[in-house]
Amino acid sequence: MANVNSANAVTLKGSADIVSEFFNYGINSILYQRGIYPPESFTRLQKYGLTLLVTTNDKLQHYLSIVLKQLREWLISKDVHRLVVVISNIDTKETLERWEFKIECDKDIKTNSKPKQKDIKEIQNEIKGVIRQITASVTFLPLLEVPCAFDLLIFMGKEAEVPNEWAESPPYLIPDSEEVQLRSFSTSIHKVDTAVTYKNTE
Amino acid sequence: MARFKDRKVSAVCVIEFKELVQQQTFGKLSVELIKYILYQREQIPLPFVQLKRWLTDESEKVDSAKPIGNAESNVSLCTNIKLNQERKQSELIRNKKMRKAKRFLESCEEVFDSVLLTVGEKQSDFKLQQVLVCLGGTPVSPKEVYIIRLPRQPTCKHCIHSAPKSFRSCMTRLFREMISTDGLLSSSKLSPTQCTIMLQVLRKNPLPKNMEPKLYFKVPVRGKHVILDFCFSNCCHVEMDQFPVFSDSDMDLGESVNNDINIIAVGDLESTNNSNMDKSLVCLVEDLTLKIPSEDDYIWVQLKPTIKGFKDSCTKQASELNIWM
Repeated sequence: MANVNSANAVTLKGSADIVSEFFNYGINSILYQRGIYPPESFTRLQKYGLTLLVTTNDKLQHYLSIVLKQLREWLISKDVHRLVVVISNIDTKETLERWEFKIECDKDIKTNSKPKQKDIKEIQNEIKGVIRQITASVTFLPLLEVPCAFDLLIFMGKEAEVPNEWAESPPYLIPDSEEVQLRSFSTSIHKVDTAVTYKNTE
Repeated sequence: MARFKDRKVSAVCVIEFKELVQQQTFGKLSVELIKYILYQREQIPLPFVQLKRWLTDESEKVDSAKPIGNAESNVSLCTNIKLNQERKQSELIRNKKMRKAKRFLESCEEVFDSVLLTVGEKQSDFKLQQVLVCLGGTPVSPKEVYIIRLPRQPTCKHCIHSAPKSFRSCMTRLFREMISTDGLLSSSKLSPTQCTIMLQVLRKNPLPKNMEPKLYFKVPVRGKHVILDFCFSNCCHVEMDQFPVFSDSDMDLGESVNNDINIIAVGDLESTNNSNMDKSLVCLVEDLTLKIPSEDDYIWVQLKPTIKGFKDSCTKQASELNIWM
């Protein structure tokens, strides 16, 4: 449960919960909008005042659950700087798209620090804006006409403890790319900026 | 925040095209913009295309739905009755949402057809100039107004014969600019409300039935204003405005009367008194001048029907932190 004392008070753990939850719905939205998984494998839910699509695929749910639980831990320990969703061609492994979420954390805050003040509704409103933009981005992103796979990359500080199940990875950058900056949201403890980079097809 | 004639302009986005873009493409872009605004401003729970898909899927589910349980089995009778009641309740809610969605989509299709009609084959009949998307009770006093300004088509002989930009690449360009423009669309909550589409077109009699002329309509002063300006980059082929220019040379201009005669050289119209000037050329100059419409030649028309947004009341709420499985 989120450690939130009142509707306007946000603790470090509460902020980590909010951000992890956002990534769950954000990643699901990306996978649905970009057709990485078939649309019939998604179900609709109401969250942030939006109708969102989340996967019903057990394996995918399990995978996301593991990643996001770990992410939450790193958000609390303030070790994570970035989360990237990489979309690539299944056959050629070419990176076609990168959804980059830059994460900034208040360096001074600790788990036993006094909560910061920000209305949870305002945070949810900002998150709603980001997810709506993710949905709208399909109008300008190039069509993905090949079968695609996705990877999740988490960029950490050098001192961070990384479990054995995680392996080092290249950044999967895209040469000759276009980038579009989307909206950001802030819990007053964590700030998340969103950008999408895609292969220039013109 | 800029003020223009007492209107509060919240944001302006200028989308400049270097290549030729046909009027039909601008019409399609306007339609896509309306769909985008309706979703982004919370008038519909899903983007337009996804809403259509949802309605199709739900209609198929309704057709294939069967009653629960077997009334002959006394053991499960109570459970079946309860389940059937719950199911009927959720069906009622779902059917209500489906009816609203169906009505919404039908209204939109009619409106979109009208917009595309004004930029269709006989585009010269309407010369669509502006599209207004008014969100609020009435178009006279809306909460938000989105003004889509279309450019006049270039008249330069070189430009009009160049290969037009495709619709897909225009749409990519447009939405990339819009999403990149910070604060273009408000993030404040807006409950589903009436959406009225107004078009500024050339006066034409008679107008189609679903275009109601509003002779005294003006762009409303009230409400937040967002301006979306389509424009062409300056043409490098002509230096002057769109008025035709003529040479004072004594070459035979008879042939060029039937062709594009945008440019030859700067001429003085008073030299029509010159006996060497072709009389047909004089008539053509006057004719062309008259063909360029003035502001008074345009009127506002309201498209019927008005579009009514709706909320999603039947999709279940996500439970708190249901990712922790």
